[in-house]
Amino acid sequence: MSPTFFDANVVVGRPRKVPLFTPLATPEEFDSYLDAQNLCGALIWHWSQTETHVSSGNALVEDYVNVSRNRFACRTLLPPATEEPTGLANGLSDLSPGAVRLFPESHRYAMNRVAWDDLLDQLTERRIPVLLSTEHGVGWGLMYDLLRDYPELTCVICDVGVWSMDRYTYPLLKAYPNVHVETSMLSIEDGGVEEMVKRFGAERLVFGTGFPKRYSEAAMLQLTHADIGDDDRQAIAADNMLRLVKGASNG
Amino acid sequence: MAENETLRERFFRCGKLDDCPVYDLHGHMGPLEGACLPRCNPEDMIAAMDRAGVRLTVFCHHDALFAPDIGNAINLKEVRRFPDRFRAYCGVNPNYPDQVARDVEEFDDNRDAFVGFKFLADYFEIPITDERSAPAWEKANAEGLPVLLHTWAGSSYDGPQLVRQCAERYPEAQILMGHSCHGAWEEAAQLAVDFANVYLELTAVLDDRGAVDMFVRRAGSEKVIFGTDTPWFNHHYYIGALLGAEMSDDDRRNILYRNAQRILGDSLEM
Repeated sequence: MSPTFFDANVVVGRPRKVPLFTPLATPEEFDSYLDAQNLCGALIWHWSQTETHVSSGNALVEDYVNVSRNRFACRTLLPPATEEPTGLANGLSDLSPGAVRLFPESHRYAMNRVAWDDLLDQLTERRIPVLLSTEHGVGWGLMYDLLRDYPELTCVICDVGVWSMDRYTYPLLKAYPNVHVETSMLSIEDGGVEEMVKRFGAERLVFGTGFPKRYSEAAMLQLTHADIGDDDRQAIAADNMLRLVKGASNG
Repeated sequence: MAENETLRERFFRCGKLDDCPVYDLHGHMGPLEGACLPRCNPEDMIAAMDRAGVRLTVFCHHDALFAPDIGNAINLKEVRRFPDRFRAYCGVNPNYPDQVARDVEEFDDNRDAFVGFKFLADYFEIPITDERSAPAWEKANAEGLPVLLHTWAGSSYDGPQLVRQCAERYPEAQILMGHSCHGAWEEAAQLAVDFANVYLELTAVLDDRGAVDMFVRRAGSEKVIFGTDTPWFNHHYYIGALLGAEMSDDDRRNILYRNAQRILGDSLEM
């Protein structure tokens, strides 16, 4: 069975340096991408959120959002101590439906309760998913620190590679029930998706491609023919992430 | 099958295609220290190959590369258990030149299993041009055998300039640039243009969108080799990436099997 896909890991806009890949530079190009791949929607972020500033990045990503067509945004936050503008006119109410991405490396902050105080408690309460990318500065130590201090936080670990990924993710999946893994790079590990489904259940995985940095057909073909049941396949392909961006719990 | 159905449509529908087999020329086998590999024994690897229509994998067992006390015996053992599905590269660790000399000397006794040689210079920290590797290079050059190199941008052991020296020195060896000088994509493509005996291999390339598209534009699909580092990387992920890259289905067939069949030649008959 060919599943319906929702892409939880798409970056839009043009990065600071000209990349090898062709970026999704406009909302029209983003729409064309979704149509070409027959995707039912996507969760996106904008390069400027990490490479420029939170406020400009959050403003730029809004041009791509269309909730009625399942085009959702990750907005970005900063720890509260400096009280900097984030471009969110209505505060945390602007985050839902949607998600948050954190960039502790480029934005230079710690990932613990000392830095975030009760702000992440509020995200936990609102069930707003927080996306943490190992490709964008969220190392495993930071992730472990964050979840130790906010154990109920809904989060999605993105862009995991193969180098000991399972040894890092399995303890987090076991210890924290609201941790999920995005599949754009998990799917490159032979047997990675199947093993994770077997151990932790399909509800802990969400499909993503990493487009336009990576070929979307890669993760799509892997999941289409993964050695798992069709219900699990569809849950991973779209249903789990759609449920999360709309603020619902796993239960 | 509809008459005009593309490879993309057919792979998504079927997962594997009898008329488009896959030859994986960059494989390994067995566990390794730095990663959890769920499908690393030969039986599980064959099951994974079957799901994606991979007819043959040419590998060098992790133990053969990283455990001098085991060496190439493990490669011979596993190929002979599954001769229809595997061939092996004779692993070359020039830190142990006596062993290299013995392996080269015994190479012809093991032609049913070995197709060529595998170098992993970044890990052994000896340049691919070093004299301690010469016996393997000379054997490959004399008989036109494949040599699978690990190649990486900026490396002083197996970077593009060193590949160029080897290609000039050993013009008959068939040099497969594993990882295509990862990151130095333009230099890698130029090497494949400049030397008839140098090929671009795709392991760890296909998670960077745009590189293989450029390789085909610059060097032609006849110079691009399919490989996955199996049991590390998933075959369908890599096939899917090729389906998403800008090239024709004819190019994809070259990459997925025609080039490998040409390079392996008689080795496939043994």
